Amino acid sequence: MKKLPVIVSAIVAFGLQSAAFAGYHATALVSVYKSGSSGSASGSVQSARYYASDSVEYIGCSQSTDVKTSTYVSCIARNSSNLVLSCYSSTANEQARDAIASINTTSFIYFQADASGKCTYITVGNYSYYL
Amino acid sequence: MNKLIATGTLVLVFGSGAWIGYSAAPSDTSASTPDPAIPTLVNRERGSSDGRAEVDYSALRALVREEMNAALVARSGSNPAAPAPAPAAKAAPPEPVTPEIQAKRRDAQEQIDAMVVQGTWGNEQRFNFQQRLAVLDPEQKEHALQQLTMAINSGALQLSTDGPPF
Repeated sequence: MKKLPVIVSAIVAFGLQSAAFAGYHATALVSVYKSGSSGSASGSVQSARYYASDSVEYIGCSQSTDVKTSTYVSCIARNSSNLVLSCYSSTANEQARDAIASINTTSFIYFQADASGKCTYITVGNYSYYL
Repeated sequence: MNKLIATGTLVLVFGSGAWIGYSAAPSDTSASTPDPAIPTLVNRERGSSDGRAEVDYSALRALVREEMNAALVARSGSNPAAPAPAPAAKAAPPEPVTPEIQAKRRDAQEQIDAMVVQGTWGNEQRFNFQQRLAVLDPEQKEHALQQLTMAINSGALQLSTDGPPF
């Protein structure tokens, strides 16, 4: 008889859990493609952190500045096979800097690096389905 | 006969109505009152008929001058009454590079070179790299970033940082 409240509570808890994660969901694990020293990488921040089965992969971008004149942005990704791709740019335009500043837990990031390590393309998409 | 009287009455009524409408003065005469602020271009000659007038050439010249000025201002997009635009603010001159700064930069660059060729890149290297990067001039900074990024991408540098390498 005492088991009944426990079972009911469990059913209610499961029901609420499914309600909290409603809506379309997509996973984008980190992928790195390299061709010589250049390449491209992509993945979602949330997928790398919470949906990857390994503890290796990550992806992200950052901005650094000396506060006076110099600013550079950089992106880096590592996939589950420990393959790393990074890029930097000290001439990133305002759009690129804004895109990097907008990165959050819903973000999907894609970037390209040329053979000299410079970022040649950066995409940041913020979508609910990556949560 | 009756038709003739009726037609004559109609013609008379229409004719008198038209005459009254033509000769009546407008009820609102404010439009014809000269504005004292506007220079008078045409002076009615006293004692002459309404058709004769004398043009005030000085007022006309002043008005033309004013209109020309307005047109020139509109074309150039500037207001002559406004003060002349201040010259663009000059960028702050770069700090003088003393021999001490030069030596510091040279040391920083050499240390970065040495770190990158070591082949491993951990938290300590990242910290030292950030510190030395801040010392470098823009050109040296570009070189250091390129050096590190290329070493990472080529696999020459084994990363062991907690998080990103720079």
